[in-house]
Amino acid sequence: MKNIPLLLGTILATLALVVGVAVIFSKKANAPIEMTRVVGDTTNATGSAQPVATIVEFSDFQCPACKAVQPLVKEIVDKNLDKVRFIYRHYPLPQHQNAQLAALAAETAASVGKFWQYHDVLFETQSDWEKLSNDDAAKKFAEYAQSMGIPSELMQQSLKTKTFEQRVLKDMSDAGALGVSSTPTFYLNGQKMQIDQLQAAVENLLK
Amino acid sequence: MAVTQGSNLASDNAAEPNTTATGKYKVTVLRDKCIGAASCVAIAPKVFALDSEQKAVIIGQDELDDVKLLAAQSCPTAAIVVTDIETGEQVWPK
Repeated sequence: MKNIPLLLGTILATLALVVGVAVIFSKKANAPIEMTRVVGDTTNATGSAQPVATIVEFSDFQCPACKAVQPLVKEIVDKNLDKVRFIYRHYPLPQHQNAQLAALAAETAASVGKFWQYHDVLFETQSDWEKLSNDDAAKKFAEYAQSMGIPSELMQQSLKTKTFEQRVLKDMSDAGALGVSSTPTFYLNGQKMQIDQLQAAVENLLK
Repeated sequence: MAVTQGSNLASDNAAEPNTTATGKYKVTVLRDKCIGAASCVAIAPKVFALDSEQKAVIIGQDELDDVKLLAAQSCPTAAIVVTDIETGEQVWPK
């Protein structure tokens, strides 16, 4: 009878140890998968190849808030090009009628090495195409392509056949799995981060 | 008579719409696990829709296998099961 408290204590301690180990190992097992989900294949990345800070943005070219945060993101990256990497990932929201088309256009530009140039143009001109029909937006996107040396026909054909749809859907799939439900959504070194905390958090990492 | 039969067919279709998969994979939704995040709907709107309870339902199987798989992989609660029709193997979740 005297040993009952000791026995109970031993059982509880063992249980706590088993649960603790299980939790630690389950987190370790999930971590690489989560990080892959966050960064994707890093095709649309700029900045440092060996970064201290990796910023990932799930974004939508038709989202006004995404447009609004671009100057800040650009400032953070440009100021620390040797230490910060920025990865753009697509999350075109269904309520934005031309967002997915814009993402496809950006991927077409990416296929000829002009993703970032096209990215900037899409945000700069957002108000010019956001309310157009899909057909008219496609024509507009072909004009933008032409203006930066991408054949208009290449863009039109790519949008018509949705050549890069799988790339966009892959980003959307990862976003969904991560629980992303709005844009812009930022991750800093795999941790979800509010935009108003991003700059300070990056500076903290770079100290 | 023909009208009645037609109505029945329409009704059947509404309950189990176009579930004949055109590709290698068939998707099903585990209703209890669905939280209505709707990422599947955004990725494969020809396959998934949300019902009145904000749960994903299958509205068709006519989509590319890769798109079905990406839609399933987008689900934050792994509520979408992808099955290889020929082998019966569960492709996702693994």
